[in-house]
Amino acid sequence: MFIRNNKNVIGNKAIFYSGKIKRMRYSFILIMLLIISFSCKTPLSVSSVEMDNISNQPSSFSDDSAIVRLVAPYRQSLEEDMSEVLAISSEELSKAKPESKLSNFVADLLMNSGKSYCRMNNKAFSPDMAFVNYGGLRTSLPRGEVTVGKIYELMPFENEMVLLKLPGATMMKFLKLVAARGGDGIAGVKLGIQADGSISSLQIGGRTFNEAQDYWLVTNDYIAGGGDAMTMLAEATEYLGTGLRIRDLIIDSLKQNYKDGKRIRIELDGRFYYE
Amino acid sequence: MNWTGGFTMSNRRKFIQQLTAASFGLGLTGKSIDLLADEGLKTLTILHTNDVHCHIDPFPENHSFFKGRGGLARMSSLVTRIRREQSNVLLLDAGDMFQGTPYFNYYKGELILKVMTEMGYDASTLGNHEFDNGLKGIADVIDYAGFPLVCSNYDFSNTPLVNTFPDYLIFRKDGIKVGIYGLGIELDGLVSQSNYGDAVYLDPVKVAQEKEAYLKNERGCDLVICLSHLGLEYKEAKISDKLLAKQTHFTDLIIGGHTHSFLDAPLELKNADGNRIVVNQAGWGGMVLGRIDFIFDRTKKQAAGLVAQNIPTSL
Repeated sequence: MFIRNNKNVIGNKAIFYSGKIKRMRYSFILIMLLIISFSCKTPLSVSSVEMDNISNQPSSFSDDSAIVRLVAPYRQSLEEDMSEVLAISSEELSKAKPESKLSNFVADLLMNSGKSYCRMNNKAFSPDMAFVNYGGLRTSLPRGEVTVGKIYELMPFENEMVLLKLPGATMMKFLKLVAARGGDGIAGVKLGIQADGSISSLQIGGRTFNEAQDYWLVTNDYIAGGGDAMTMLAEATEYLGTGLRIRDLIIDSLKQNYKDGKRIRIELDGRFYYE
Repeated sequence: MNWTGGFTMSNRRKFIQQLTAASFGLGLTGKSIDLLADEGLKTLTILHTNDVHCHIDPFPENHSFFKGRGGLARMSSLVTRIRREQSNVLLLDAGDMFQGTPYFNYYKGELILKVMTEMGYDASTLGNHEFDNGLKGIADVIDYAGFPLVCSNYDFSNTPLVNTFPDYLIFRKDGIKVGIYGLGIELDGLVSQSNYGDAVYLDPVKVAQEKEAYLKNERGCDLVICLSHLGLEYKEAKISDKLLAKQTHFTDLIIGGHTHSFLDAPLELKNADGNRIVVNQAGWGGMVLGRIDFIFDRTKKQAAGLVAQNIPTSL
């Protein structure tokens, strides 16, 4: 009973789709019923349309018990891992442009992870800048307890930390696009922009930008691979994959800080500002 | 439920299994409670979501914007109620089912596809996040989807996913023939090449025009629906549902995704011939269920009547 491009066959048969039920003999009866019901088909046309976008709100319905039952074993094994408290935050951290406590926080964590990676692997260099794409930050962090689950929501992607060596000219192309977008997470850089998104002042590592110099950028493999239209990063003269997931690095450094008794306390420092 | 799909004759194990798994009774709707039937009218109810992003549970109470909203577990109850009230319902999704909660990081696509299957989704399409674990990541979990993912403009010929996604679907509901095609967004620059491999993106406008003409004229569909993950609109000239809509001829409804757009009401736009085309998108995370009821007449007369009744999403 395979479908062919034959209108009569198609017109008289319906294929019943189900992953579960296998009762062949009923299908024959059903097909006969459908042949009867479709054989005198009159063309139909839409006479009117009614439309509604229905909000799925707390008070509207209770959960479907069948779904709850299906999810329960999955939820249970997840919950233990996800409910572990990683940090205490003095306030809610959310993202905004041009800079925000959340984007600064994550960019700083990536910068520190990049630096310690280079240190531990005896590299002759260290990242000059960290970059976290704004769109990659997927939720806010709450005031109070920050759990593993929250970090998964913040950074759900399985992105790897990558280090790129960029010629000064490439770094400038990159920063121009960052400036024009006006609000990604950056660290190591102080970037002043004008209302039209052009760069008005730029310091890297506390020094004036020098186009004759190479710079090391630490970011994720999505951006390093040209994601978010960062195609100029293909000009990198070195690409160092670390094999480390950024989310895991963040979880690890939060754990360490928590053990050391530190709270998350972030101040905006004007690293990304309108002139 | 019941669909015929756009597979080629050389097709594949899974599709055959689906055919042989012909089910008992699923296609016959319950007693029609549709009062319009007395007047020779039939109603088809389209329910749709997009960008569910593994939100099975509602957003937590400490979420600053969406607290307590969304999630498929509760939406499923809403869908069930509508199915009780309406005989002809199609439940559709416009992609990005994957990624967004730890359910995805831990269980990949398994759990969300099981939940959507349990809810009785009739079809979905491929969003860019479906590629987050690569083509293998899709292949590993696709069998958990008890519904087809229709995709018309990605060519998977040179990938392990060849013949996995039908390029069109045809459903029948109480004699109403519904054709569906699916459009994915350009992957280059959005998904890393290592994740989409040798899948080739085809021009969505050209593909849409081919598929809608085929479904309408050659297959005689009463209604043509596009499941799109192109995005509602952009500042730049990038192809979007709004730009697509005015280049189509036979598509009645574009169900969109990707841009996470909350619309107070579905949009009524004009297609290339100046006829009505509805474009809608339902936020994300299961926060909104789009509902569009098409009321059909047995005559060829095209009536202009339209009733829109909208419940605000209270953002």
